Amino acid sequence: MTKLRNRALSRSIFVSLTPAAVLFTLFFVYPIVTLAWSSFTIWDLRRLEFAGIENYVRMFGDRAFLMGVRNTAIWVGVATLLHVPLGVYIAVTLSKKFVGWRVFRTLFFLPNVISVAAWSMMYRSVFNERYGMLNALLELVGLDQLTANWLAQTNTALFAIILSWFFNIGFYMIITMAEIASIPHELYEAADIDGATERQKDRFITYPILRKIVGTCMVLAVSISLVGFEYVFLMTEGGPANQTMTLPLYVYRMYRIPQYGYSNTIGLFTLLFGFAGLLLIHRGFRMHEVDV
Amino acid sequence: MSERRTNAALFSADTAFRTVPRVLVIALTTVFTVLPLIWLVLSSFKTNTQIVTESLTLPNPWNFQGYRDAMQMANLHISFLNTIIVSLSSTALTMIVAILSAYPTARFDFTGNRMVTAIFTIGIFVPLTALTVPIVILIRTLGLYDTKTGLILTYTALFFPITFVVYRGFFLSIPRDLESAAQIDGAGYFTTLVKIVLPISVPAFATVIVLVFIRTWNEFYYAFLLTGSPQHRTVQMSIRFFTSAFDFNFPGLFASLFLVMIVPIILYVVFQEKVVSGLTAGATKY
Amino acid sequence: MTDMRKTRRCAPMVRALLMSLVLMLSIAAILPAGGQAQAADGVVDLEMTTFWVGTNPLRPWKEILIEEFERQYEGVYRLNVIEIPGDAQHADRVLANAAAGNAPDITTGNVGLMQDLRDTGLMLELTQYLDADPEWRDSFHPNAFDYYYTADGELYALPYSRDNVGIYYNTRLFAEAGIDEFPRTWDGFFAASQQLVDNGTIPFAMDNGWIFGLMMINMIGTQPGGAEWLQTRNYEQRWTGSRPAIAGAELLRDYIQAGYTQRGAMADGYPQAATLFLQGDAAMIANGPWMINSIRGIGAEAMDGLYDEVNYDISPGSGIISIFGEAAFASGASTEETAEGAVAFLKLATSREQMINQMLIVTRPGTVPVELNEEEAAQIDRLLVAIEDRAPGATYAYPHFQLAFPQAVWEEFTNFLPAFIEGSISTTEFFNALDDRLESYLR
Repeated sequence: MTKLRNRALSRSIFVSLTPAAVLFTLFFVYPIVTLAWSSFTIWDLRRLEFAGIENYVRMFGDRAFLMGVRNTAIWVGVATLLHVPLGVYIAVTLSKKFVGWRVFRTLFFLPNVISVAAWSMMYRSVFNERYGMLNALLELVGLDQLTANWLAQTNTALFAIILSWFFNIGFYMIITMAEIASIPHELYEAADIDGATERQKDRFITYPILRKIVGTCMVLAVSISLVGFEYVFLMTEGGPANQTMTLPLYVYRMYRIPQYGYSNTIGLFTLLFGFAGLLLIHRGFRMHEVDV
Repeated sequence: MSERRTNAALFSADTAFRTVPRVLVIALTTVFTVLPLIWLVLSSFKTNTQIVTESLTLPNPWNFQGYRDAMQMANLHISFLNTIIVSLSSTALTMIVAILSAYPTARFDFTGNRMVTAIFTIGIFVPLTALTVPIVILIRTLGLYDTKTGLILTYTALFFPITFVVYRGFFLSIPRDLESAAQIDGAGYFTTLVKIVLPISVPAFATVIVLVFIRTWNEFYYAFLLTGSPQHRTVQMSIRFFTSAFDFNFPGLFASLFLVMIVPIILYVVFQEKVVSGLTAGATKY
Repeated sequence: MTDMRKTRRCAPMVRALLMSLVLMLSIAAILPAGGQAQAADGVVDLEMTTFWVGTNPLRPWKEILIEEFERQYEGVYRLNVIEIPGDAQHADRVLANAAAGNAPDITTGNVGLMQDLRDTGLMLELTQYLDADPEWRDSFHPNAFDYYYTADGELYALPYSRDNVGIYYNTRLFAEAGIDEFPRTWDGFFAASQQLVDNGTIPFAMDNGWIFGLMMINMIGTQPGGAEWLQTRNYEQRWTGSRPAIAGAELLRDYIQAGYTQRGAMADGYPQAATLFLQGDAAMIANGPWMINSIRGIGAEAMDGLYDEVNYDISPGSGIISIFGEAAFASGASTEETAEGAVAFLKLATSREQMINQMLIVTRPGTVPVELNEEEAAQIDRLLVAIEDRAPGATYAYPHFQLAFPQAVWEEFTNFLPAFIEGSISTTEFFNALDDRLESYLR
């Protein structure tokens, strides 16, 4: 990194950072500070009282919360270990620009354009036991014993809901493709002269350069798993019997009861959960290191 | 296989390497992306009954009432205009704020850099609902309750952290030789940013614009909390007039969902193609 | 020299943060907190939030109310109506704003929202206004406010609805299965359902929430001691160990497990269930009289001729869900002028004329009993007349879930019921979860 040398530059950086700092202080620092202090209170519509660590004691004995932690960990796992690698792999493949690659790039990304409300209605229809597409397909190939009431059965709900979140790979694909587009061509030309195969070029040139963007995608994957509640809410509301409960959804559920203090305690935990994930990813992908 | 250097082996290995992923890509694409879109479009031509009793079937008969209802819905054009204003403004603002803050943290070693970066990054892990009450208080205090400005400001702030992270990632991986040259030539900070850095980061530009625009276009949680009167309502709110606890007009809902979806789709197809193809025109990579 | 450079390097970040803090504080100081209602022209602005919009069945009545209010009070009050589609979204918005210290001058909502709003301490106490106008106060049914009075006899919401919630059944499908009349006992109900299944009909259209809740309340309320248990006030009843609750819940579980509802009912919402009944595929459904319009095909797709085949009756076991104030009006007016305006609106909405309008448009009787003349009586829907006639004959009358328990328990109820029905959790586990949520609500 460039070391700061003069006053003018220092002033420029200050000016450059100010809008973000103002916005962030208003919309995030203030709410997060609220989150932090109110986690030590009983706060609902009737009262606001200091309660020490009562919320924390309650949280770790709350089965719905523990279920939320488990499921959120699964979401994060699926997103980082399955969605991101697949997205990156498809990005590398499409970047070879075979016939029709543009069409596929567009098709893959399109689901990300559809609103969550439409997606959840569509998948509720697909997973319906009576007229759903999935059961019809299973019956067609003679696997009748596998049919289920996917979203209402305790043993299938989580699987079904995670399966339907698959379209996120298009999001990681599009980010990675933009990165691939900025790799200097000279690197590949040099490899061609050395007689490298496609696979070797991918392995020794493309993937190493993508290290940081893959890390970024993983951070985003963790973020997506921790921030949004609408999708699960519209599909199952966290049921049956908390089988599909996630942390952000539980924050929402407790917020609506309304128990703001307890909701904020879980919100704070979620935030720390994400930050821990961020640190791990930074370590794993050596994101603080500077290339070349 | 790849160790052999004969041309034939190289050819076959490469062919297999190209074919298998393509088949995989096609299969995945079809199952997970085309079907939902078809389902949504078909549903908009069905009747209520068909929508809640059938999954992937053709409409029978084709029902155009949904589109008629959507077109006749009062003030839909106003909410469309509102959403365009809100989405464009907040996308532009988010971009400006994020670029201005991501660039210095990715490039310069000033004290507090890592702390600023860490603090901004924490923003992407805050569950959106946990911000509800503070943001409502904030918007009301600022006197921006039930205004487009309030919603624009909220969206700009909410989508800032994720945009910051993406931009910082891009800035970190862009080679800095050009900037160093510019600095040696005596160009100032903002001149370097605008003249040298922004042009190289055009692919990131396109991607982020599309991502932020789509998110603001589809956002409804805060739209429901902060606006409401017809002159400030967004489309995401308008389309929900087709359902209530005991009554539902699904054809109208799906028809309006489809109409609402077209804008980001067109934006994506046109914009992404233009920027990326323009950038890589004439350059074959492999 | 080194010190100076150090300060300079610190500067960008520290200064940016300091600056933002100062900016935030100055903005907060300059701007007035909350908008005031008084407009320059002397007309008082009233903010009204409502979800009676779009496809909501109450929308036509709302339009009449607003039109009438604006006609009567032109130049005095101006209604600023904020329309929020969806009751849940409406409740979210009103509560979030109330938590931030602002309540609308007029709002509508179900009993859950009304309780939450009352807890904020922002709402207008209404007995003072009722007492100031004895004629208005005495026009209400004597039990109208039962579920809305606080322990201290205060009133923070004005219920406008009175409902007898029964069971609709399709007489043609019943006749085709060889059933002569609607069953009076639960045994008869099971037997009739079996006959319907044998005839290839879905006996009961069920969903994973509302309709399920109504049937479970019916099955609990008609057990010995069930109605009393449901009528317990102040949330003092518990699920665990309650004989009527156990018997009722297990009866419903047996009913669904026997295959008397549509396949996959536990993942279906109200639209799926209602459509089965409206298309003549299912023979029964439980819902309030506001569904009559859907059965007539108003704002819904109903099979041709369905209305003529449908009848409405009380629950087997001779029970009826009879409720005052499923929903109410409330006011968060903060000034004398706006409070007077809100009360004027409430008086208009509960006038004889508007109660009749509610009965005709929403097919729902109001909290103010009205004597109808012959011409008016002829306009009242026959299904509404049917349930009004039969309800007094029921042995047991009880409130529905939302009045007997807080919203928090209802959410936990819908969360656990599919697992309970599939048998992966026991009745005890199910009830423990409900009681846990109730305890945490009351803490």
